[in-house]
Amino acid sequence: MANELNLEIELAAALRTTAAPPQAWIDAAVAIPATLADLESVDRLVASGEFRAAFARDPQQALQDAGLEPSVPLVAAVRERLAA
Amino acid sequence: MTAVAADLADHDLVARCRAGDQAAWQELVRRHATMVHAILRGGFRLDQHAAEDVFQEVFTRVYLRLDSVRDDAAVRAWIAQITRNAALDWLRRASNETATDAVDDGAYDEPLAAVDQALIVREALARLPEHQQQILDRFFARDESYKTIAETLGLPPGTIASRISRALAALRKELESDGRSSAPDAS
Repeated sequence: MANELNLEIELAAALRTTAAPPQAWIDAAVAIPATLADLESVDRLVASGEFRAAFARDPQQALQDAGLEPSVPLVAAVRERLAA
Repeated sequence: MTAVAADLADHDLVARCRAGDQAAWQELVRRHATMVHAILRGGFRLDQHAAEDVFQEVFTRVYLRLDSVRDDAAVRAWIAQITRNAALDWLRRASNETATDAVDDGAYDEPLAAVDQALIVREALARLPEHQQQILDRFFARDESYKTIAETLGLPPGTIASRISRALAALRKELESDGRSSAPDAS
């Protein structure tokens, strides 16, 4: 009986903790390859010392000044390249 | 193609993702999204907005690092580690911006362990027949009454309690087959 109650409590907690993320998040993640289709542009930017300094100050602004949409995947991609 | 991708093991999915197969990438994201979300929200207690950003950052890292997966068979653990690192990086950046105390990595051990347990239960649940998953989800996650469950699923109201009990017994059996003798609180 106690075991049954424990499992019920654990199941309720597990279902709360592991709820699916919003579908929009999944759709955006699925689109990452398309968002990052032009990685060569990222590599060119990262090669520039001026851009690297600007990115360290303000990532979003640096990308905007470079004429790019500062999306989360793009900011993350630049960080990846800088850390490599 | 998506139906085919859904049947692939993680290591095959990763191989296809490396080859630029969009359906495989979609399946990889779909398959691990709940785990990533649970670690960010349940393990690191990120609010919805922060969790959304880090969620995208995690899958960006996964995408860019596909060539560096050392063990294709351990993709799930690899993504979980990327998620933990991305969350800690986000917390450190937020801490720097607000000049608050440094992030204590160890502070998240306990909630992360709880998330691991929850994911084990969720995975065991996913191996049950669909009708048992449905009834447990409706009763324990959505807090639906016996009456509502009976009406929605077209079942006799007097059978709901026993169906829940049988589904719980099946879930316990699945957990035991994972090497767990009982729910953790009972051990």
